[in-house]
Amino acid sequence: MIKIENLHASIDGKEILKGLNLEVKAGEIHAIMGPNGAGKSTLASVLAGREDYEVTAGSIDFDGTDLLELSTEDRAREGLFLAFQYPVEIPGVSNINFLRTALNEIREYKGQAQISAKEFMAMVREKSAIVELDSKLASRAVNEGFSGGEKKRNEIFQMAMLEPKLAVLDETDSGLDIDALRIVANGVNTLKSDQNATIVITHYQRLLDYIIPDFVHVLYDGRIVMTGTKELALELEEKGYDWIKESIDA
Amino acid sequence: MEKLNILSQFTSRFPSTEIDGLSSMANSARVFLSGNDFPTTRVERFKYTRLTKLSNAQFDGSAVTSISDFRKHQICPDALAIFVVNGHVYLPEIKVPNGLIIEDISSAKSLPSSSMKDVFAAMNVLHAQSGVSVHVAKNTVIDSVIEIVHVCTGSYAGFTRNQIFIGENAQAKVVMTYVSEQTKACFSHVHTSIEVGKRAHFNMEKVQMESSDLFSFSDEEVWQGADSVFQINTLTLDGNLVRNDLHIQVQGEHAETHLNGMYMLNGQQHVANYTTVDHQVANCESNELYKGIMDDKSIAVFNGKVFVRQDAQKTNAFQSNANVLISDDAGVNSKPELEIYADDVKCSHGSTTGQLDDEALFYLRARGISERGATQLLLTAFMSDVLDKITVPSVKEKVFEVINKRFNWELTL
Amino acid sequence: MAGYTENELAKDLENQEYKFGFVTDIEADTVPIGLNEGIIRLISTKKNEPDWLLEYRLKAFAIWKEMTEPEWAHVHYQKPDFQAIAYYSAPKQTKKYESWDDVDPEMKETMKKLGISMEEQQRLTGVAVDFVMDSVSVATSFKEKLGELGVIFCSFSDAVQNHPDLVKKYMGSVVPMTDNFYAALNAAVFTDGSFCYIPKGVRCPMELSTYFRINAGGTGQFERTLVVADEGSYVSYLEGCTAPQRDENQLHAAVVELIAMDHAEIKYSTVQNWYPGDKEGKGGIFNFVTKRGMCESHAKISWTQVETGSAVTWKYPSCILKGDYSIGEFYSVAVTNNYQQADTGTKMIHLGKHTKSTIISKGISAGKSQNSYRGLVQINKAAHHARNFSQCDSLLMTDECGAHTFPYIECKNPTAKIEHEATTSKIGEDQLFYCMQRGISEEKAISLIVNGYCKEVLNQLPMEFAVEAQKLLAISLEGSVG
Repeated sequence: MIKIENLHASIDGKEILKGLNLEVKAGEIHAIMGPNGAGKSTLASVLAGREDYEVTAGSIDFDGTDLLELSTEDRAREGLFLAFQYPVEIPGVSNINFLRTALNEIREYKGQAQISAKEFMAMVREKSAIVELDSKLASRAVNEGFSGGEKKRNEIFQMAMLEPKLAVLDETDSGLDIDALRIVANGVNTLKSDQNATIVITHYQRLLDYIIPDFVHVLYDGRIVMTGTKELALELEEKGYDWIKESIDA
Repeated sequence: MEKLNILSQFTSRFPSTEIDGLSSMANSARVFLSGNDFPTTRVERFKYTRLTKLSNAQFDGSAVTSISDFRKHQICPDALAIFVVNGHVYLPEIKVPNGLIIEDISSAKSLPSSSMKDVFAAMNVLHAQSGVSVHVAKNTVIDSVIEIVHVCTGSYAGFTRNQIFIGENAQAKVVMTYVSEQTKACFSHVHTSIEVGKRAHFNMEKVQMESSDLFSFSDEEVWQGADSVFQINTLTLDGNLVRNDLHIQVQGEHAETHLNGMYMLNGQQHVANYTTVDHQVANCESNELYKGIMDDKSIAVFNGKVFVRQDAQKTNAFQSNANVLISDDAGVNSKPELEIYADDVKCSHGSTTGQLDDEALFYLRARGISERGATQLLLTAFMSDVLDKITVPSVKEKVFEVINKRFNWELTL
Repeated sequence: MAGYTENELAKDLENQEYKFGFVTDIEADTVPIGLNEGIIRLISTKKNEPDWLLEYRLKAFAIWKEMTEPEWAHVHYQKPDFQAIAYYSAPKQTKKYESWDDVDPEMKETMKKLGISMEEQQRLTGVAVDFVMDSVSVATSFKEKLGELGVIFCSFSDAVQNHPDLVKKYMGSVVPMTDNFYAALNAAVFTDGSFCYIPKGVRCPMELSTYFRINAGGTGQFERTLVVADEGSYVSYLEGCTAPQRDENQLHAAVVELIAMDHAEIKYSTVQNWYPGDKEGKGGIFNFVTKRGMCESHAKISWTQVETGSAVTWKYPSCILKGDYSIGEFYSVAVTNNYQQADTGTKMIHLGKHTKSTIISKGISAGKSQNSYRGLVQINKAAHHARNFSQCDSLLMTDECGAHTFPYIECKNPTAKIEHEATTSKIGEDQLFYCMQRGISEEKAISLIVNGYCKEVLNQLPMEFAVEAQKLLAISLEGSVG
């Protein structure tokens, strides 16, 4: 699905990613954990194509396409979805209008016909149920006046609507209480298939009790320094990140 | 034709300046005066300030010379204090720390040229009698507060000119005290040029408590260098017609500017605060907070302009003006302006005018506090964020002392 | 990365074409250029006016001659030469239109190009339309249906002939001829416009609409609109404006007066799309308009405007809240591009008790344009418990444009509550990135965000107008992106 090789990226001249390698296959869930400042959110931003970050070396192959050659919107249209850590408020633009625009642009890109209003509304009803999102929120302005938990659920709702190949969840658990966490995780699990893949970026293990990863990677100082299974996450939770830092820095 | 007569009549009473440093500006001042009338309310800058009382006032110049002790007007007991009495500078014998020069402005070698924003600024150039020059050398931190006490007496009318220079990476605090004694009608115009060098920090507390028969005009023109921090707190506690003109030119990147003001008015007072923050370069921040309480027939004017030039990208400028009217006859005119020519900026302003919150008053009274007490409590609360900006404790005490006396209140710190 | 930069956007915006820039080939009856008593008498004679109106004009002319043209700090333009303008130009037509079929086919074509298909509008929307081309009102539909309710909706000239008492009573009562330079000029030379009277207690069942178009070259348009809503009545009034593309500047100096009597409500919506000049700033309409409404007790006047056109706009639709409990509202979107200059806002004059006003102003500046909000909120001594809320936001699209806010707040009553907020910001990069991450192109994203930004104002417009306004915004800011 996606193959990242020797990725170097910097912001304002400061190198954050220093040779990151990662391969994710269809049907897999990968968790990326790491201490603060390791480069987790940078990876998410670079994948989505945020212009503040400069890729200085390396390659990203996304299902046979050179991802780095694509604009932000074309990456999205190719099926890359980023669930934002801090979803953005867009005053006056309704969620519905926003999603319909997005959906139709993606369809147009793929040479598909526009979705009919009826079909679209049916889809909204079906998908909003997945994350137990109040249908009223669907007609409110994008993220405006949403609680932290509502914003995160809205992200997963959008993911359900846009049906991406690869979803990158950037600290989706931050700011969620345990009930909201369960709902969000449940949504992600429901959407999982052998055609798509998920990268879960998190600082804490707890989310991984609900979204069971096939692989857990530790990101430290701009590189993946350790890869394991769910047990590694538990070990990290127990011992903290210091032992990794020590073993790497030594 | 008639109006020009008012202007020349007004200026004719003032002797020409003898400050050498002003001669280079004299010509442009004269040109400005010949092209302008004595301001009426048709002039935008004086839209809300009628000056007929000023142009009609009789200043016989009879200054009371035998003041027992003008030192009593000093607010900060430990300050390095200088006195300007009716335009004359008194420099007491004080030991000044290294790197600090305080002298009569007549001795100062060069003076920065100021802008002719109105006829009074131009008149100051031609008629300033004296003033204080404060020079802080680079890398010098002055721990003591410097206090410049301006005293008007009798029927004095005249212009004063000060200059303050804060060298690179230096730091200083000045208290400007404005008082009066035994006055009849009095007119005073004080111009202060302030240069804040690179990385320098400068704080000014401007305390105005002249009596209610004083026409008190003052303007500060400030130039800020890169990474400098400038703060001024304008505290207007008394006066008849008070006009403050603040003009900040932000000329170095990453400079910070803080303008705060409070005005507590009663009687027939008219207080106008005009401010301009001119952002000329990128990456600077300015904050402006002015609050006022108006009683009796007093009128307050606030005109705050934030000017962001095309090169001043990434400017953050915030401006707020809040007013409480506590009498049926009081009034306020507020004009917070934004003039923006750069696109990557964050600027906002807000202005509110109203009364004290009835619900809050009721709540306090329901807890057993008298209406009077509750009112004072809420007014103090309203003012508190401005009062908190005051950096010199004795100034803060003085503010409460004066307010309590004038309004017959018992506010506490 | 194929990101779309701000500079490219700015460039595209410059190339945007004015879509209503065609000239209609209709023979016009135009008076000689110049302004003097003779011309005014000629206009009055041509319009077969009663003596009192001629006297009114001549008095206004005398006053105007004594006035000096106003100067504004933030508006720069070549002052019009008032002797080089033809003050009357009417499509040549000897007989009056009795029905839609009588209308000149060229004129019908013009309307079609403007998107006003009369037949369609009549059938589908039930909007009664008055069409003012150059200086003369050419068609008013739905007259009969309105007549049954006692609603008078006709051209100003017809009103002068058929309802002289009403015209005489209210004309100049809200905007006196002495008000300002351009109001005085209008009072002297106005040629036509619309008149509307809603009788007591009548709720006008359809939107009343006037389209203004300047067609002939070298002319000015000076129309007057007078809307009188009698006690307890309601009317929603729409106004649209276009003009052909010409290299010269043309002057439009209109006067609009609204009178809302006790418990009446007037909703007045404008979509102004006069020719803005080309991308070098050549040509375009000078739009100097005086609009003001008078609210009696419990009355409400609501101004909504979407301003995208004109080279220079000077316009402050205002409310005099004279009656107790009266309400004034002002909702505005002003878009400026290239070398356009807009200085617009409102005045809310609170005289009565418990009066309330709301101001929502959204400015969008692109290209090298200058966009200013200038407003006055005045709470007078007797206006106990008056309330005002103002919000003025500015959105900047390029680094060569300017956005300015000049609110004047004058309060003489302690029971008033006034809140004013203003922000200025660049179109949010985070917002754009978020949209684009969802697969939306930058062009669409900008259009989405801008429409969202203006929503509070667009929501105030009647449906058909809202759609048109959105299209206009799209043309101004999106059409050329690609």
